[in-house]
Amino acid sequence: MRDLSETLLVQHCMQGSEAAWREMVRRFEGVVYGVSYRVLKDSDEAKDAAQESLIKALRSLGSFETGRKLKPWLAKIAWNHAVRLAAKRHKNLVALSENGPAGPWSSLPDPAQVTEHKEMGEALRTAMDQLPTAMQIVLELRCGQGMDYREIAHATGWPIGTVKTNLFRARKRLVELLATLDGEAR
Amino acid sequence: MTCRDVEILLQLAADGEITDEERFTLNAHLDDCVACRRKEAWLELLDEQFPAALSSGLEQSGELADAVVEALGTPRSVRTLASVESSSVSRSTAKPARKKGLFSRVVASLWSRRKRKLAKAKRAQEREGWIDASVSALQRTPTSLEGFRAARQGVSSAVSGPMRALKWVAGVWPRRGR
Ligand SMILES: [Zn+2]
Repeated sequence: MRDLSETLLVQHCMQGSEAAWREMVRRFEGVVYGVSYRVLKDSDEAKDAAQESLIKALRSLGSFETGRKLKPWLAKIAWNHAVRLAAKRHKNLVALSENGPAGPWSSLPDPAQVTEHKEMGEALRTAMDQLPTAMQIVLELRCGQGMDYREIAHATGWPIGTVKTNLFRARKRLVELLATLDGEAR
Repeated sequence: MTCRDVEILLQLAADGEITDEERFTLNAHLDDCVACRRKEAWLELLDEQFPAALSSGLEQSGELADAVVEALGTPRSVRTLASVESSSVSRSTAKPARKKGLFSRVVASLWSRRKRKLAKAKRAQEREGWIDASVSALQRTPTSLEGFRAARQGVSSAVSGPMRALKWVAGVWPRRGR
């Protein structure tokens, strides 16, 4: 199962193979959960939403166009489902973007001088959680899931320009944050 | 080329979206600009640190797979199904009836399973009064019908009960516009 191409995996899933369903979940639970979590901000709610999205996806494989990639398609299902849940629960769904181009970067210290990288992961996670949802989503899909601009645009329904802007802003913020951390540590 | 432009190129490079020409311009600038070389190094560090920042609480334990398999494989899942079916994903690209042979049989069997679940969900909703869930499920009726036609061609057996329920659903229930 692990070596199966996406096309064959889809076929096996549609034939009702439990092993194929499991493989589908194993391959894509990360992206589906990741998207759900970024929208819903709660790991239990995100797990439920991810489960529902995966079930939904497996049931609607008939509408999956052969030859396309599964990941963006699943990300889109997860995104639509999570956004809908968030709206139902009146979660404050962002400020999708801030207007205007990202400001210039502040001057940064030399990262080669940084010796302590250990706490960076934790600090980054906290900083991630505080970014607007739109930024979290694009970071998750680009840096976490390796999707390209076009695929992210497909999944979120945003124009590519919006995807880029959110991604660039988010990176700038996180880099500046890491640089500050380092400054404080010394 | 200003440092400001280079910030954009650096990110395009990080995303593998930079053209050869842009790469050339970028490298030329980096040769001469310490500040931008630092930015590049920080972006690399960010990339390296990212996996830790993204782990947001899902252990790949097979727990999700168990739940999904259970929902797909047993009738117990009616309620989950109803709520899942009612959420919207664009189905504009759905063309389940186009291909013949094995694929269409597979599609047909999927649709017939879906059809049985839908009918079951409808009965449950009637019992428990989940009108809203049903109505939103019905907003996708046109696409569903195409699928059901495909299903009928592929499978001639044993679906008369759910089929009747479905016709009723498709024909009688008023559709609410979005
Ligand atoms: Zn520069």
